[in-house]
This record gives sequence, C-alpha cells and structure tokens, in this order.
Amino acid sequence: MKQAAVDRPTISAWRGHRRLVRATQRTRYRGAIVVGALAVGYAFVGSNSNLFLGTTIFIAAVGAIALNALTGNLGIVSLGQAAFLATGAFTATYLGGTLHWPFLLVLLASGVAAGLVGGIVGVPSLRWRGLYIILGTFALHYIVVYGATKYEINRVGPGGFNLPPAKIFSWTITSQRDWYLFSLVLVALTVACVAKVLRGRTGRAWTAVRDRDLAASITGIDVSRAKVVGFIATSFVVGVAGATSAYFVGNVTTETFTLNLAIQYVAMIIIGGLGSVPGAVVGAAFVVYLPHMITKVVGLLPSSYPLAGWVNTNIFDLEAGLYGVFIILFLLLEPGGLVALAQRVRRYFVSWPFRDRGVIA
Amino acid sequence: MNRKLRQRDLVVLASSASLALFLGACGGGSDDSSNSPSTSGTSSSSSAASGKPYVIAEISDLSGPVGVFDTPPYDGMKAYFDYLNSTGGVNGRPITTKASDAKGDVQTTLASFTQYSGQSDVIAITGLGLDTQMDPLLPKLASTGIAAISSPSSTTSGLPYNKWYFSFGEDYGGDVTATAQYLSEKDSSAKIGYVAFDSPATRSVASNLTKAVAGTGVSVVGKEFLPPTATDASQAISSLVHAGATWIAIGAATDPQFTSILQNAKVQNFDGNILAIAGGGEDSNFKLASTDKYKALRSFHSPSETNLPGVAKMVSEVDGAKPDKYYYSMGWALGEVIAKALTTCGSDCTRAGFRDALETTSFSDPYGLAASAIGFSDTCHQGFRSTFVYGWDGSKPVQEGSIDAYNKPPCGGS
Amino acid sequence: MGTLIGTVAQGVALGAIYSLVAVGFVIIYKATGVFNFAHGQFMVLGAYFAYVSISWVGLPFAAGIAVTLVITGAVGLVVYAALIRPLLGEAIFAPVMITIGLSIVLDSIISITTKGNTYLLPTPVPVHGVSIPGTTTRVSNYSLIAIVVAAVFFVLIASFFRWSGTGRDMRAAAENPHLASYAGVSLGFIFSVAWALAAVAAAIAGIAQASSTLISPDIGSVALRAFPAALLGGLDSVMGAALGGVLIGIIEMLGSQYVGSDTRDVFPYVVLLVALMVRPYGLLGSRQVDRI
Repeated sequence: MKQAAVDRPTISAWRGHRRLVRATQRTRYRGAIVVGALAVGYAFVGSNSNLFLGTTIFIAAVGAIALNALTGNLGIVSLGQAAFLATGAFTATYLGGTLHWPFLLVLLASGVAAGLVGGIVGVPSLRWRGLYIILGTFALHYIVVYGATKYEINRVGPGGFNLPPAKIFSWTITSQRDWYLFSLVLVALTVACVAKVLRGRTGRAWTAVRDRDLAASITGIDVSRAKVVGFIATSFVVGVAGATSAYFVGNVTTETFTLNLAIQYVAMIIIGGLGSVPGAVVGAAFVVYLPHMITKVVGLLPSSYPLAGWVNTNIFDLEAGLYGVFIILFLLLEPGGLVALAQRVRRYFVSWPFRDRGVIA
Repeated sequence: MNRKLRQRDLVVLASSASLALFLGACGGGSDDSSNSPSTSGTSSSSSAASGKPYVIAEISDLSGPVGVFDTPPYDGMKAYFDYLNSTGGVNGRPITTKASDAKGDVQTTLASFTQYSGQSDVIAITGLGLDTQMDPLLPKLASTGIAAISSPSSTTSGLPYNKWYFSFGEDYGGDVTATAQYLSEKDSSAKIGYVAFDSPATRSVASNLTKAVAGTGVSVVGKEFLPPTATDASQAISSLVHAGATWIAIGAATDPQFTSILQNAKVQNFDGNILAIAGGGEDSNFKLASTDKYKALRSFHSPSETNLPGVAKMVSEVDGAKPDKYYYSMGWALGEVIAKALTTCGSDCTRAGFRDALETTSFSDPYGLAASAIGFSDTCHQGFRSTFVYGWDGSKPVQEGSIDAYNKPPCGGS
Repeated sequence: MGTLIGTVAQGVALGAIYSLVAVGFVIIYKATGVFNFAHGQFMVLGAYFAYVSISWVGLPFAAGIAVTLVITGAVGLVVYAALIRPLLGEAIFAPVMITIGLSIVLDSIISITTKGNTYLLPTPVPVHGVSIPGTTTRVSNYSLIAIVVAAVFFVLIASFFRWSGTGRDMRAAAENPHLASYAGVSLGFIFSVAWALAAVAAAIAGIAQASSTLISPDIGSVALRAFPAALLGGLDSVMGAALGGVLIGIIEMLGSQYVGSDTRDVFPYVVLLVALMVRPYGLLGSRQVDRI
C-alpha cells in the first residue's frame, strides 16, 4: 500500500476526485433544476405578453446556442444565421403548409434541410480562414435570401406563407402558455444535448480545431470532418429554430431574414459569452428584451426632465443603436460576455473588501 | 496593475448598478395595468378633458426607410386628438395614444400586438398596413376581439370587408385601379414602364396592372425592380426608355431611388411623363422633378395647401411643429373618424362596441382633406374612396383631378 | 452590339464607385489585417459633411470637399484609436465584430441627427446625360466625373505607397510587422494613417455616389456590394481594388441587362462565393502563408 501511495494515485484519491466531480455536477444540475422549475412555474402566473416574450427568447436561444457552438467552440465565425433560419422556415412552409406533414416531423425535416445547406457550405469553407469565412457566410446570406424571395414570389405573392396550427398528436399549441411551455422544453433539450456534446470528446476536438488547427490535425483530429460535421449539426439546430418560429408566428416572409438578424445573433453570443451554452441563452434574453427594457426605463423618466422630449422622439433609433453600443462595450471591456461579467461581480462581492488580485476563488 | 484593477472595479460596479436598474424596471411595469407608460411621444392630456382616457395603440415602422411614410399619419392623428382634448375630449374623456416601432419585422409586430391587446385600456390598433405585417395579424384580430385600422397603407387580403379590419390607407389594389383609370383617360395609347423597389407587393401591382389594362390601348412595356437598398436606377430607366415607354410609373420607391429615377430620366433625355403611384407626391418630390410632366397620386391634400379653407383650419388647430407631408392630413382625418366612432360608442366604450361604432361613422369630410367622403360602412371597410392627381405649375403642386380608386361595389358605384 | 458596349460602359461607371469603396477596405486590411464593416457609414458621413460644408456653412464646392475629407479622415483616426487599437493582437473576429457594432451605432447616430432628411448634393454642374459614341446608351456626366476622380485617386494612392516614406513603411509593416518595428517604423502611426486614408477614400466614394442620387443614409449600402469587389481584386492589393471594382460593376450591369434587373443584388455575391472557392486571395492579392 505504501508503495502504491508513492507510485500511483490511490483508490481513495480517485474516489475523492470522483466525489468532487459528482458534487460539481450536482451543483450544476441543481442550479439547472431550480431555474427550470422557476421557468415552468412562470408559465402559470405570467401575463400573455410576457409569455410571448419568453417564447421568443427561448426560440432565439436555440439558434444562439447553435451559433455559439459553431463560433465559440469550433471557431467558425458565421454571418449565415439568417440564411439557415430562412431555410428552416421555408422548408417548414412547404412540408407543413403544402404537404401537411405532422408538426414534429416538419421540425426535424426542416432541420435536416438546413443541415444539408450547412454541409454544402461546410465543404468549401474548409479552405477559408478567419475573415474569409465571414465573407463567405455573408455572401451565402444574400444568395439564400434571394432564392427564398424568388420562391415566395412565384408561389404565394406578397402575403408570404401561412402555416397551419402546430399539433402534437391531439394537443394543438395555441395559447401563449402552450407555446411558452413547448419552447421551454425545446430549449432545455437543446441546452442539455449541446452541453453534453461540448463537454465530451467532440467538444474538446472542436476547441483544438479552433485554437490550433494545424497542431490538432497532427495529433490525429480530423479537422475537415470536425468542421463539416460542425456546420451540419449547428445548421440543423438553427433550422429547427427557424421552423419553430415559423409555426409560432404563423406566417413566413423573406423580409424577416435580414443581415441585421444574423448580426443580432452574433451580438447574442458575444454579449452572453462566447463558448458558453448558458451564456448563449442569457445573451438571447438580453438582446430580445433590450428594446422593452429601454422603453420601460425611458418611461420612468419624468416628463419634466430636459432631455425627455428628445429621447421620446428618437426612442426607436436609440433602441436600434443601443445594442451596437453593447457589442462595442462588451468587446472592449468584457470579452467573456455576461457570463464572465457575472463571475467577476461575484468574485468582487465575495472577496470584498479585499481587492481581487486575479487569483481564482 | 492598479489602473487595470480600478477599471475592472468600475466595470463591476457599473454592471451591478445596471442590473439593479434592470430588475427595478422589470418589476416596475406590469402589462395589464392601465398605468403603462407611453412608449413614444407623450401625448398631452390637457385640463379640459378629464376622466379615464381612451387609448389608441399604434404599431408601424416608425424608424428606418419606411419611417418617413409611417410617422406623419401617426403625428396627424395624435395632433387631432390633442386638439380635441383641449376642447373637452370625447364624452368627457381624453383620447391618448401609445406607439411601438414594428421595424418592418413580423415578430416585433406580433409581440407589440400581444402586448397591446393584453392591456385592457387599449380600444383599437392603428398603423400597420404592409401585407407582410398585417396578414398574420388578421386572424388574431378576430380571436382577440380588437379592431385594427391600417394607415397609410393597407393589405389587400383584408378588403373589401373583414369584420375586424378597417383600411384608412392606400392599398395596392386601389393603386392599380387608379393608375389604369387615369392613364386610359389621359393617354389611351400609353406605354407604361413600371419601376419600383423589389418586393412581393410591388411585383403583384405590376402584374395586376398588366392584367387591368389588357384589352385597352394602354400597355405595359417594361417592368424593372430595384433592390430595396439600391440607390442607382440608371440601368432600370435606360431599359424602360429603350423599350419605348411613354409613361414611367413609379410603384413604390425610397427617396434616393426617386431621385435617381428622376435624374436618370433627364440623363436619358426621356420626354414622356412620369407618374408616381404610391408615395412620391410630397412637395419636395415635385420640386425635384420640376417639370409639368411629373404627376403624382395623392389621397389627401397636403398641409401646405393653406389656400384651401379646410386645410388652413386644420393647420391653425395644430399645436406645435407645422406639418408638411400629405400623410399628415390622412392621420388627421383618421383621428376624426375615430373620435366620431368613440362619440357614438359612448363613455363605456368596449372594443366590440367601438368596432360596431366604426361602421356607423356616416360619411363626411368636414375639413375637406380627402378627394371623397371618409368613413366606414357595414359593407365597406375602406375609409376613403378616391385619390387626387397632382401636377406641377412651376412653383407648387396643383390638383389636376381626382380618380375613384376604390369604386367597385360594395364601396362605390357600379 | 451597341447595347453590349453601352452596358459595359455603364458597368465601368458603376465600377468606379465600387473601386473607390473597395480601396478603402484594402487600405485598412493591408495595413492592419482588419475588415471594416462600418465603411458604408463613413461614406454617408462624408456625404452629409459635404452638404453641411457647402450648403450650410457656405463654402465653395472645392473647399467644402476638402474640409469634408479632413473631417472624415479625423473620424477614421478616432475610430481607430478608440475601437481598434485596444483590440490589436486579438483574433480577427474581435475587431471585425466591433466594426459591425460601430456600423449599427453610426447608423443610429446618422438617423437621429439627420432625421432621415435627404438632400441634393449642391454640385457646380447640373446633371445631364452624355451619349456613348456608337451606342444608344447614355450615361450621366457625373458617372464620367466619378471615373476620372477614381482614376486620379488611384494614381495618387499608388504613388503614395510606392514613393513616399510613409507608404513604404506601410508596405513593410504589412509584410512583416515585427521586422518593420525593429527597423524603426511606428506601427501605431502606420495604422492611424491607414484608417484616416481609408475614411478619406470612403468620403470621396460617398460624395461620388451622392452626386448620382441624393445624400441619404442609403448611400452606405453600396459598401455591402463592394465587398465582392475588394475580395475579387485581392484584399491586400490596391490595384486589385480598382480591377475588382470595375469587373464587379460590369458583371452586375451585364446581369441586370441580360438576366433581369432584380438579379443585380445577387450577382456580386455569387462572384464572391466563386472567388472564395476558386481563388480566395483574389486576382492580384498575395497568397496566405499558413503559420503553425
């Protein structure tokens, strides 16, 4: 036994390590369960308008989580988010609206369609580095939107496509509460699956590809496969989000899928925190809620305040510009996003009055 | 190290403060209370009218490229309510407004709609006319039981009659009728070159126009669509001119596109006529064109036409900045219709009651702002039926005639 | 045949604007390796500053333009110092994303200060058409002026890079920043000059574009279509920007004439995608070296 203590980690040390890991996981799961329970509980007390907001946030979060995995973990910066959302949405209009396939099947199939497009883009993207990927996905955006516009004009005309109601077996998702619960389940599933994948081998391989892809290929990671599979998988999730959104809104037109939309998603993952799954959710909530928050804050300004008139007249332009300001602020001051910011705030308060010297708590 | 630490401390404190503010703002407003703050522009509730306000909620593109079209009708409507409130309001109650920017996006539109329809003091929704934003909303109007009045444009799928949808705007169907009628009267062998920014709606106008003139001497010889953000119409105009167009019809275009179209018409030495169908009828557009060959369709008189007694009266009653866009008059007129319906509806007006009352607003136009009587009936939900044609006399736009654009039954004659 | 020549001529005129915009991208990329998504907004600022200098302040046309170029150059400097310099050394994603954020903020500022008002550029010579000999095509006289201005500007820029001390330093810094700084080149100074110069190019492009339509916030959208021009020519080649701009202009016009005017928006991006697949470093650009 004595020899073992010197040469190898002991059984008890190993047990201790496992205990620590399980404890961390328990904390993580406990946190998730508490948040989940609160979210479900809110479904029964929230106003319709807030539930609508919640659903919008959850669906956006699904897309944000996928983009975050692609950009934050795999290192592929993509401006093609709107293109993949459009692919999912328009596939849903065809399969659900014209062929009347069942709702869940349409979601899956739309994801597959978006995944296919992701695969088609993924192959040439192997040669692209950094800036060229951004430009390539930028071009992809315009081409997909152009195709979708032509399709819409030829088949349906100005009003866009209308979708039938979403039915799962005998349950029709109609009320705001129904949609809130459904999208909550959807985002919970996405968080669980993506987080698990990113914690495992695939996630580590992706991180290696992101940081030093030549070195990664030397260590045996198939970089091409990782990139293409990454594109396909994340586009699949984005396609599902696009299709869900199509059913939720009930109507699909190409006007929704602007470059600004793609930029909004990139803002979500920057503000939330690149590489962090909960960060993507938080970022989505932030970007979606920002205009409402500004409206509320501005409403609190007394009308006698000298700038109040100016602010009220220009409020919409201010709202539009403010999230650009946040992108800049976060990039300059807190590149880790809200997640890192939260950790830093926690450390500050925990170790106050001692200054944080940068030592990990 | 010290400087960096201070910077980080500042970031931490600033973010904690913002978080506190955020939570405070978050908890502060609850949607169903009738004390929700206005989201845009405080509308005055003056001393003359007291009592619980009637609330009209506007959802439209108040910023961005279309903002220049959607903001004047809202301003005009608000101004009318302000004037009315200063003379006692309606049934002793003031009329106030709230607004939300749809940003050209269906999801934002729906979110605002859900929010406003959840507020019990909101009695009707205005704004919203583009097909893309209104069509998904049409079924929800019925299921929520709230009336929507579109301005300054409207959706064809809600016309001529949809129980909860009212149009106080220009719809593309009316545009086509007006254009076809005007051209067949003015120039029976007109060759139309159609140019507009590319959208499903403008494409549908182009094809409907082609159908509407089929069999007459008028024909459509070319259709050109510009990408919505493009500012250069050189190739489009050059093609239309080469195709032999004698009339260039501008379907819908942003300001820079208008200018580019007009400039390129000069470059190509185009000596035919130019007709602006939707938009392009503001005084500034006429000044830019500076030719008596430029005609525009306007559904209402511009507030700058103070030689007309009704317009002068309106302008004198406006409190604050003087308006100059003709969509402002459209908003003022809409305010009149709404106020009339509220009067009929009574001081305990419900949403359903208001909807019914709208249909009883008998037709009139006290300020003489429109080309025809304004109002709604129980068979026709198009609020105004005709449109003016304006030309240029060298120094200002002048009215040259009017067309019954929405004249098919049930809205108009045979 | 006449139509073909005419269309190509129109393409060259359009291409002149594209090359002016593209060279702005190239200057910044060549010097700092960053792609500036806010370039379109610089164009709009330049156009509005020109209007203010000429119509409100009352300066004569040439002086007004000169003042505008100086002011816009200063804006470029400020943007560099405040937003780009802190991020030097980070992955390409960070400064590019910050320029995207900047473009959103500038759009909002422009919208608030101009209230969406559009103005005619007060040009000394009125707009009229000029016939292209041998065809029935007419182009605006300002398109021809734009071509001349672009050509002059390119000659100036090329000579600057070739013969002036700062220009040589910039080329050295682009090749190998470390060696250049050891040789005494101040990288900070180089980067600032690059951003100022690019902003000036943007202002010229904005004024040129505004001369054919209105001074409006929409002018900046040309920048989005100039990306393919910059890439096609080679992101680090100034002459490539000229070539790419003209080629994209011609392709766009040909597509518009022979395929349909609504395809104008999409052809440049198809070209961009094809170029990325076949020759990512562009026609005149230098190959990228993979470093481990």
